[in-house]
Amino acid sequence: MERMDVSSSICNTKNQKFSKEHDVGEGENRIGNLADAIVQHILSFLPTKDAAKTSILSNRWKYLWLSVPVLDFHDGAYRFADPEEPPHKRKLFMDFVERVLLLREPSTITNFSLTCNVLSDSSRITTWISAAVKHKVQVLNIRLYKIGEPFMLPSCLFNCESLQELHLNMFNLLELPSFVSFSNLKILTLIRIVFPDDHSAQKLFKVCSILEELYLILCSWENVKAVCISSPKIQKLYIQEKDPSYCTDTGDEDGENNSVDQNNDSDNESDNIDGQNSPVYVNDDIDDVYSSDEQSDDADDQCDSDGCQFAVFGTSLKYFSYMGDFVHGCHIQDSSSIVEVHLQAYNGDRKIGYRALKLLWGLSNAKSLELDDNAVESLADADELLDHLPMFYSLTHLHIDWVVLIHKEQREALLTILRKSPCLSSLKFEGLSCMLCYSGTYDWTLDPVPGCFLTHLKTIEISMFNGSEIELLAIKILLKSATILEKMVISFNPWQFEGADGLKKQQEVQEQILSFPRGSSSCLIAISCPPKKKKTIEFC
Amino acid sequence: MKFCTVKQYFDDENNNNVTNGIATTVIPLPNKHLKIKANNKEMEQYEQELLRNVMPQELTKLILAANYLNFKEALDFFCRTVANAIQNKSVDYVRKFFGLESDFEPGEEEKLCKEFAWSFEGVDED
Repeated sequence: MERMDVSSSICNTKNQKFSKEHDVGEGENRIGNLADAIVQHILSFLPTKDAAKTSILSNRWKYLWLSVPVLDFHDGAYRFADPEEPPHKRKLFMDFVERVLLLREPSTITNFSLTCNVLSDSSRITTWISAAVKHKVQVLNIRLYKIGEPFMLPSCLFNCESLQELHLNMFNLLELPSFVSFSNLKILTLIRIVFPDDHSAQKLFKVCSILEELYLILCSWENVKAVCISSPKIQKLYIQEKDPSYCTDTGDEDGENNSVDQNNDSDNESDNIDGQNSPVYVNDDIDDVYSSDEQSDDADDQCDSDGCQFAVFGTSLKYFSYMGDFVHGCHIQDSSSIVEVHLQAYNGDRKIGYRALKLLWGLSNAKSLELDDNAVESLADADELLDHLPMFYSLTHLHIDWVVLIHKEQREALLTILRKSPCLSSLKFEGLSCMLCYSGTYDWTLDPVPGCFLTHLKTIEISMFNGSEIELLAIKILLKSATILEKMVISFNPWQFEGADGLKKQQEVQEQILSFPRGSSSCLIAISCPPKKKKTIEFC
Repeated sequence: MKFCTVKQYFDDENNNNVTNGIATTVIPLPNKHLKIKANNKEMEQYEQELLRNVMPQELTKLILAANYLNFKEALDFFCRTVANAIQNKSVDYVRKFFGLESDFEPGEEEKLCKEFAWSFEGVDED
């Protein structure tokens, strides 16, 4: 991977002499005096706009930035504000990109990112993408908005031998040329893409013979009945449906915060998604001119239709994540390698529960399962199915987001999952209860206690803890029933405990928890309050 | 890999490139890095702290040390820290940060600003 090459070439120039500034002082220790290769490495982490600014630092820096093989053009336009960028600024942007491409002409481009509105400049933009392809790009990241007429990606893109990562984010029909080949493609992300039919979808997936990660986000599958993903090395599959309650086209968040950081880990070192948020794309306002009305009808139909059937072959699937109403069927041939499963639902009704159950049957080998509140609610709503949940014999980690403990059905659903996970050793609640006002009785019993509580459960983690009565009751019950528990880690919801009063409340709650009887004599309890952090939405 | 170079460093008599102080910062990094790696948010915090506590000269030394020790992740991390420090800042700020002086003929700067006009729009406060 290019990053490695650059680094190793940097590392080979160990014994370099630095030109001394005629200004005495620590000449060698100024960042500005580092060798070219290192400077270019630093500049490669900047958007090209900022790298270009270094041209006026000094003579040495005039064209240094132009030889950085990483290009990242982001037009800075606000995606959802009504006024478009002033034409003057737009012209400057278009000229800038072309000038940079021209000035760097023969040099390689390893990473090329482009985020901009298309408007009436389709052919110019297509030329830019062709340029990247012709310069042996390895990581290509294209995000296009305001596509006035159907946009044609250059056909050379579809047989680019150098391409290792391709991220396409545009509300556009995917039209493939007759010859398609992606023999080195490891990561493919398609966002808002419209598949015209089974044939092209299948053609695309078929040629990705060494594909490892596939992200299908907010795509339109209405014209695809079934598709097969048979890359033998596929490890990660992430599907996010369009949210049917947003019937218009989808964009994503404010462009400014989005710059996909492809400088970050483009080589496929073992990505564990523990602790990372799955990318969340927010459906937003109308962005494109054509088919927005058709889109809404189709979206409604989508909810009731069978969706697209995905058949996933290959024996290395480790991570499966699905966000949506589980409209699409996923048949995983060999799930023995599955490590992590994330299911997040848009709604919590019975129909979705049935679909969730079907998915879970194919994923019962999972070692780690994460369910959000809607997923749990959908299973709770279809409570007649609960007994038919599969046994999760390999499950050691269960993560539940914001379950609603005050609802008996949801408690039951949760308990059923726990009872079906005999080897569970770690349980995590992100938000112990999203509704806190409880007017029922507190006579819950854990009967029968899930087997894992007595044999395997060693760690319980609770975050975004509000200190409410209902949460305290849940903690009390957990502490009493988990007889081999070693560790309970609780972290407060920092927004709930502000100021001096907050600290006092924290103390009280803490004392209460520490006084609860513990079923496990060796159980340690750690309670803390993390600092408030602005929630950032991460995009892949 | 990384540890081979570290061993070599200790065996190498002429290690002017890396002072002891810097080595003690860089060498524990693999462990910290592995812990932080899983959590991007902690990494951001660590980066913020680093920026606040460490002068540009120190950062240079850290970069050189990581480079010498062939420690790719640390090199990437420090370089990215520098990049974040100068992103969207004015040219004067960046000159100061890098310890550079302009050696342009009069008029050359304006010419460059015009040539790459789009990139010289909109800048943070120093």
